[in-house]
Amino acid sequence: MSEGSSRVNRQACPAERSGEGPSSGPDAIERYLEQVGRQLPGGPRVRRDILDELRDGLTQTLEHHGDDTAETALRREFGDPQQIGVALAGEARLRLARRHAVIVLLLLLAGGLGWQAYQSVVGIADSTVPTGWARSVFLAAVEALQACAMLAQIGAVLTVLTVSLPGRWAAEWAARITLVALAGFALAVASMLVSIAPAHRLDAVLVSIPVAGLTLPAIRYAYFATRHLRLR
Amino acid sequence: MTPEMLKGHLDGLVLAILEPEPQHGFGVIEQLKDNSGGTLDLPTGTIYPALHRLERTGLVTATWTVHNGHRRRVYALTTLGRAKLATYRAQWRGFADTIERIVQAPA
Repeated sequence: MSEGSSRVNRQACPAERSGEGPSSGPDAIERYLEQVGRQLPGGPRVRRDILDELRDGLTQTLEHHGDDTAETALRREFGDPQQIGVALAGEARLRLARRHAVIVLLLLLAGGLGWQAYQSVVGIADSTVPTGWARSVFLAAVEALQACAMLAQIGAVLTVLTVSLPGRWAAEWAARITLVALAGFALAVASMLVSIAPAHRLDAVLVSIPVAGLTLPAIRYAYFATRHLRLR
Repeated sequence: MTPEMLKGHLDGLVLAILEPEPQHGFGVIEQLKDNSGGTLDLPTGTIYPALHRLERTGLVTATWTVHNGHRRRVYALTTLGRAKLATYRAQWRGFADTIERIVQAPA
């Protein structure tokens, strides 16, 4: 079999970029990694791991096939850095989306446990329910809060479970549902604060501080998960 | 062999390469080349997204080792990966037998 017909999926070797000239092995590797790195998403650990792994492969590639100039040998044997970067970025984004969904789930579980502990230790007095127009707002906010918390948990679990399924549309929708549910949760908490009986408003504000401390990071990570799945 | 013929088979091929012993990315691509008698000479970089996909789906695990002062990522089959490889083998044999029966030259 001839050399040309025996190669599968081999990239055409582009000419060296004008003006750069031949470069040493380490320089060419770092330049190659820089081009791959431009395609990768944030997350310093993910980036470092991917680039370290590629650096090892590139070093070995030059050791085995470095008969040409380093830059040309890398492009010919390793492939186009932009295409490889895009492919690796897609994988990295899926991993990051799953990781962020797990963080959202943990924050929601921490919030749920904290709320259970608060209820059993401090308790919720009946007098927190206001009278008049605020009563219906308060009770609706309580219902919405519970529903949104449940929906956000289901969304986060589904994101984690479906992120590896082909197509990934299910994960993208699950992440969106999580994000919308968390936004609804935050809105419900704000509505409760506004409508709670005035005598309990200070207590509610104090309780809302740790709630916000968990909810805002959860919204942030749910947004990241949604964004990674959309950009994958 | 054309690139289109390899589509959908890379994951199965990588799992087969990792079956005897764990390998790092460059080792996988070299093994693919050697085992195919040089027919499958893919650009080295294409193997890494495939390995990451297999890791994400739980078919391989990756561990970091240090080689000559450099970090090296080594991949090994998981139990799920071995099961997937067995399924892939059975499907491939069935597919290859069927195609062979159809396309073989008349006697």
